[in-house]
Amino acid sequence: MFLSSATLLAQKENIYTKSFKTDKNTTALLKLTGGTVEIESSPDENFHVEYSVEFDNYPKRKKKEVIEKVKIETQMSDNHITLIDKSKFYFNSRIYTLLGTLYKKDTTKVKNYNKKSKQDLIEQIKESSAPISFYEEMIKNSNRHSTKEKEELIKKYKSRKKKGYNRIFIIKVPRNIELTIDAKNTVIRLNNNLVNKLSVRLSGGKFIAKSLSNQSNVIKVKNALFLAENINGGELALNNIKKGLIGSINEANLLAEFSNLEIGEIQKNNTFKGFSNDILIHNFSADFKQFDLFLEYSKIHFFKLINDYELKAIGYNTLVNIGNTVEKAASSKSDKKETFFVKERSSEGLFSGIMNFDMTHGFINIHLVHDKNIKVSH
Amino acid sequence: MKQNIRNLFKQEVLQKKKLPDSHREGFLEKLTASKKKRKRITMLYKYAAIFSILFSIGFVVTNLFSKENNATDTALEIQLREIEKTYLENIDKEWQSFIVLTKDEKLIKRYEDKLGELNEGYQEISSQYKIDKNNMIVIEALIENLKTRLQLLQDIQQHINLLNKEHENTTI
Repeated sequence: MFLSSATLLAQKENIYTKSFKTDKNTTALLKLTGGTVEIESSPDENFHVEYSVEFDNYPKRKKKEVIEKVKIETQMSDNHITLIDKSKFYFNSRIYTLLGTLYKKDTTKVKNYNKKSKQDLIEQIKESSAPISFYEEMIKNSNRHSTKEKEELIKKYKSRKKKGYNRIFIIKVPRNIELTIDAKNTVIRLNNNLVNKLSVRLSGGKFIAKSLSNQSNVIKVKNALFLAENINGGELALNNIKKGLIGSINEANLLAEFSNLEIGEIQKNNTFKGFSNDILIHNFSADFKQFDLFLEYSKIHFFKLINDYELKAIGYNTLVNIGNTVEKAASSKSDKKETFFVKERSSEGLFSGIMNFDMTHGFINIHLVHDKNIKVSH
Repeated sequence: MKQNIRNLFKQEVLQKKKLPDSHREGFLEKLTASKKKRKRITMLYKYAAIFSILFSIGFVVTNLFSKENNATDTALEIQLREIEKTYLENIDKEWQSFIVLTKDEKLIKRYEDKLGELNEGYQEISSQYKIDKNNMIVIEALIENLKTRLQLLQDIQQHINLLNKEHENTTI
């Protein structure tokens, strides 16, 4: 009896379903404004669009209003698929605008830097990317409540019988097609290990990806939350990302501005360029080969490597802190770049790679691994 | 002298007046003309009545709601204006100290561009706020935008100051 009534309470309504036949030359464009979209690998050679709404204790007479708000337009011409989400979920798009800016910068003067493994960071990404109600997210990130108050409020919220609906928008893309996403105030979830060539432009909302592997990827995200378990190849442009977590990064070009990033592991041949960032790297892979860094007015933190490596830093007006003491300082008087810090290879143990830093007006903070709770006053 | 009126009527032979041939047409013409006039007057009355009813309803309704909205909106708007004013003053103050602190023109230009971009975003959210003044999410987004601008300016100054301080220490 209870089971049957529970089933009746949560009802799923399929609103839009469409499939397109594709080949290796097919391209697709998604234009999204607001809401959540899940992008997955297609089980076949077709491009599938599925839109459904799950109602929970929702009044019958109001369901129609919700369904009528969904407006998906799709078309295919010259082997190009265009999908435009014109759904008018006015409230949600505003919520997602805010979600991107909810995460406040950590303004405490003393920061704790704890070394995490790549897996630790991936777990943290999984936890942060789990679907969460807007109310819970608001409470968790609020500065107005204590931790105990937050727990109580969330517990109270969860125990309450809720009326509502959940929109499920899934797009399944075949492996070979080239995908372009142009989105604003949207939560984009890229599930599975996507190997498609991606071109993404997102402003506001959340960008959540499991694994993106393509040398030609171009991903531009600004004023949003950025979570990616693995980035393999391509270009990544991040702007005003107050919380950016990347599990591992390999053969990628990262351009970051006004962002706070935490990276689990630097793998082979990466180049980072940026301005006004705070970047924390937990690990380097055993064979990271080459890591080039060009930063202005930024801080780069990394933990002392287990394996042997080489580091050469050029620039000016930059300080190198090892542990918690200033080890080297590049001239603050000159505007001419010069070599100010070199760590030669020791030829002992496994050699992992070479780091080339070009830093101006910045900090290089090398944290010692044995320090469990390294405190850096910034 | 007393007479019976009934007898008077019996005795008097009433003169039979012949009506003109166009009498019927003339009568109908006059009748329709008077009807038109009356209709015009009634329509005028109707419009006046509708107008006055609508005006009265409108007046009462706007008065009622504006009283209610003015009370809440004004309080909220005043508060928002105050917050906005305080933030903008602080942003300006931070901006002034920032341009004194650094001589790097490129850096100033970059921050100018970034603040300009954030200001554009603020205008966009402001137009959303004008549509829905009671939406807390929009209000919070407005404040968050101002907060970001202030934070960016404070962060960069903190960065420059720390760099200068550490350089001084290492030189000593």
